[in-house]
Amino acid sequence: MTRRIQGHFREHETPPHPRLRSARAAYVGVDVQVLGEHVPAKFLIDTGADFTTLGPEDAIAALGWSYLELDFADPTTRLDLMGVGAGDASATIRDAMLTFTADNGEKMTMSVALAIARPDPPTPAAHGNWLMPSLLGRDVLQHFDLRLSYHPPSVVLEEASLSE
Amino acid sequence: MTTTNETAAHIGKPEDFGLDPALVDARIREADRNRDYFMAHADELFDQYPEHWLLIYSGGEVEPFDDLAQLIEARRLLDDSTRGGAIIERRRTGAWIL
Repeated sequence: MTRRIQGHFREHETPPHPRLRSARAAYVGVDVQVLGEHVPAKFLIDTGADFTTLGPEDAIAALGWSYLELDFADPTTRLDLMGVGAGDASATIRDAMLTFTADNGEKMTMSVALAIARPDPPTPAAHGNWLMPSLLGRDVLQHFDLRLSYHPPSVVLEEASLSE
Repeated sequence: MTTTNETAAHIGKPEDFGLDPALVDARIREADRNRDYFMAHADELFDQYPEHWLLIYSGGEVEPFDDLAQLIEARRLLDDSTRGGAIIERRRTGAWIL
């Protein structure tokens, strides 16, 4: 039987510009275990992201102050990130486990190489990438069929079926 | 033709990856409880605390913080079972073009 993971939409609470009408963003709740710590993170479903990335807010919630001491310059684990925003974004890669809950209650755990975003600014702030969400990228999404509907609202990750 | 046989092998039960299934289940249940509370009260919480980080735990306890660092300290002081499912929320501002 195909397992399904229910996500949810969230409203854009503050219109960023009077001429823009944003659509709701799709999220899914995930239990993240990384470096022996864990956090219930909410991931923005982002088919534009190459890799699943833990944002600063979720990272510091999981790792505490040790998040700020991660070596983001280590070339063996460094990942450069590109986006529309300000440059020089990077992340460090760590092994992690993501656990989803299927609608039948089963837990589905995946072992992934997780990108942990470098905080910018380097200490907690109400600006910079501290306000950015964690991203569920295509490295994880490839395991699922993404079913997204705005009318009626529905966010579902359906376990990809096995085929020849 | 697909390659899902290969990719599906990476998904398993928590215990397949050395995780304690009871602990994972308890964390997720607690996080779901907190997330449900937040989703049901998001508008009023953000009206009341438009510029705060919110620490939500125990299915409806809400503590607002001006400073994320203070929230992290407060979260650290929660007991293990409460902290494991405690969530953080903040009103979204600006536009994200990721």
